Amino acid sequence: MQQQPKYADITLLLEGTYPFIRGGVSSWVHQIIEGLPQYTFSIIFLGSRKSDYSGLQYTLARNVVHIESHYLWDTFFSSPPKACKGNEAYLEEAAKLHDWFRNPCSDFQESDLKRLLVSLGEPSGFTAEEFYFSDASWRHICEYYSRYNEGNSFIHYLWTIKSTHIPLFMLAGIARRFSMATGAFHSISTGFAGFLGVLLNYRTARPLILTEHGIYTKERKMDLQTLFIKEHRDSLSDMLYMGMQYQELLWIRYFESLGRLIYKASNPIISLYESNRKRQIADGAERARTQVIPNGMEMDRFRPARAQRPEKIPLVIGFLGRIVPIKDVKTFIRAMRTVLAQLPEAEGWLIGPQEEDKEYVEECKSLIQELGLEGKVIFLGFQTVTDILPRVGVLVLTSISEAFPLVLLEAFASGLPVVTTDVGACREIIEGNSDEDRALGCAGIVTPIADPEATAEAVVTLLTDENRWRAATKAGLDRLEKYYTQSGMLDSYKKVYDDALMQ
Amino acid sequence: MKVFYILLESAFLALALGLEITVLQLVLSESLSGQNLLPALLGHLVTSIVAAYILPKSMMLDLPDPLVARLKVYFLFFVIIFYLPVLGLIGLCLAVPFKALHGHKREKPNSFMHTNKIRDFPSESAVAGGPAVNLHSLNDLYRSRNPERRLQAVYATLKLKDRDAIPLLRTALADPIDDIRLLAYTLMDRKEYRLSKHIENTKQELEKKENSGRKQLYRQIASYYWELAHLGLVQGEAKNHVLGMAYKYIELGLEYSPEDCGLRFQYAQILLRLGKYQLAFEQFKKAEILGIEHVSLLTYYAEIAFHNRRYYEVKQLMTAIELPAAYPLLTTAARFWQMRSNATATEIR
Repeated sequence: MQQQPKYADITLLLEGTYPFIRGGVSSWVHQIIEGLPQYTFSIIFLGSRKSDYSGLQYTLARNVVHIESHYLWDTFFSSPPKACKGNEAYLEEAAKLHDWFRNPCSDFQESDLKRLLVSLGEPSGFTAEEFYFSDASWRHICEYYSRYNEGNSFIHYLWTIKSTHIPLFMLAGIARRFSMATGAFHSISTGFAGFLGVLLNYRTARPLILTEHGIYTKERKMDLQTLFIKEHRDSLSDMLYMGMQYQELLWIRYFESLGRLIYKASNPIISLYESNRKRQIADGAERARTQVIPNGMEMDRFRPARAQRPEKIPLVIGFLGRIVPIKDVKTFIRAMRTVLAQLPEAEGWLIGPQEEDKEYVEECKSLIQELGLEGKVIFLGFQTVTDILPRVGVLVLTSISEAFPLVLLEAFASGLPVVTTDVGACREIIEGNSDEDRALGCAGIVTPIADPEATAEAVVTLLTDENRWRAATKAGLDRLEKYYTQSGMLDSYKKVYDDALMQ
Repeated sequence: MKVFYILLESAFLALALGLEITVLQLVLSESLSGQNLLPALLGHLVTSIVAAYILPKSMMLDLPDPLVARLKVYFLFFVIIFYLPVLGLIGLCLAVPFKALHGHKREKPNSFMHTNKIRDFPSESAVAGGPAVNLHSLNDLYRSRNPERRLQAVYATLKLKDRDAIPLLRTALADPIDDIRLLAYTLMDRKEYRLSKHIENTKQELEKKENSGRKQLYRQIASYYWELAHLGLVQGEAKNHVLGMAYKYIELGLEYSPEDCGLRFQYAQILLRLGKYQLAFEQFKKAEILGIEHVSLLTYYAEIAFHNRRYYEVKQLMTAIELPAAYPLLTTAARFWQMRSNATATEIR
């Protein structure tokens, strides 16, 4: 039997993405692993429940030497509750940490933070049983409630505090049991994966690298808003003025605090474009540690796709992405109604996995039916990008929030112009980021969010004006070649990894 | 630093009191003449100005933000102190400890929030069933440069009726701040989803119903479609489609009860929105015959006349409208046409 290696150069900390979910971030992780074969990788995957995932979605590269999965919604306590006294001294120290969360300008020593986090979940420090069942913990929760939260529901407060802390003890257990010697840890988000990175960094003294595609806290905030509004859609007027209930606001504050801890432990802190770097700094990241490494795409992989492209522009409007609310697929569907009024032979293809939010997929199907678009707007499920894109005439991205969508680079590499909403780095990818970049021309058209008419107009413009279509295609290819090559991105990460491994 | 300011203000206040006492002595002195009346008046003026500036802050009053509003508070204090010599100043000074104590008690529970970057938590008791939101102040709030205020404005649309909330939400869709844009989008999307779901459910119910119960369901479906278009939740071709569906269901409803004035009126509204002006006019007339008051149809007649370029008729109709204050936009339009009418009348004379 072959002995499993006990060392990996890089341990990737992944929350809800690769290798069990397909999407932009997962493709990026796959790109990094395959593109840097000189390093060995181990993967710690954090998910919700095992049943939410249907096996590996990617074939793991040979340089992946270890993978382990953990599910944060699994039952935590296996034995019945038992009262205990609780470590009062630890709680006093933790109270100082919470004060630091409230007032980041106050002084909090990193050595104290390290001691607190390393002993989290340890019998010599503070165990989960102590947090949930001890007198000391109960007294602290009550004290904090009356000091800061009186006037809101105690039940909401208590359960939110308990449910926000369960994952921390779980992650402490994962960090304690992780036996793979590692050169550096690389978390692809803040949140739970990032917090695990902090624990591992403090326990092993190996560096923690952070790459944020989107901004985790912002995305969680939106999830909570959407969830709340969805669940209370018939009684919206009863909502609190912040649009969320008290416990949801506590969750937001919790993620913001986690983010601050992770920024404190990570170096470098990488974002994909300048605006997100600024946001990281505003959220507590030290400016000197931040840097931007944009996504890149391998041109050669798409050479056959470009060769397959027919001479005549196909009247096919493609949407490439997961069918989830943040992609605003409904705007694409509504836009198709207008496109079809002007180009009756056109078709809309929804290319992407549909498993993540089945309810939303049903809503989209109802909308297609309602607008009489059956047979004209088609769900194709997951498809190989290089096979499907040559058959598409224009790619549309209607997202209401994005960071640096890889799909735009894939479209450029396939010789496709793009219509995209003005979110994240989309405008700079389409129109250019500097004077020199802008001189290359527009690789498509940028539209406002949730505006089906503007989307439709842009699509029709590109599909009916061949000169403009060809100019946009050329601009996309030129921009890709000059600014967003895969080799450029991989070189940057090679340097980051080499620096970390030398520490 | 804060202690220094408190000491400085206390010193100024003590000086002002001293000056006021000196002025009092001057006034009460037996040898009061025109010569010492002027210094007394000047001294009292200086005292009033200094005290009017310091006292509102010492009393921990939440001074309003804009400069003009703040000046008004200072002016009020000045008037009290200047026109009630000695009494005004002493009275206000005595009020300082009382107000400070009272104000301190009220602010205590939120004292930690000022150091916290994260938004203040609302208290459920403080917010539930809060006062109704004024649309104009909300629009003003949304124009703020502060993103937190704009976010609050978007949240506050939850207290508005859909037709009032949607224009602001649509503006917020173009906000430079992601969070605001996303919230506006989510709120709009949910409103649209709610109506679409009602349509879907009512259509399913329709399939199960026999003839007798169908009329009400046709009316409901038409209303939901109409709301989608009327609220601006759909646009362009999708809007035309939705109006077309409203038209279809209202016609089905009218087959069952052609004498229903409400249905007839809604039918006319849809025709008007579809740009079928002559047909809309005929249906409004029928609705009038069936019982809708002529006066409540004047705006529709005026709109049809406008589209048919019969502007003189528009003037006549708009002049006849007596609008409640609740419709500011319509009031503005009516005023415009009334003014045009008066101007024309003057020209004719």
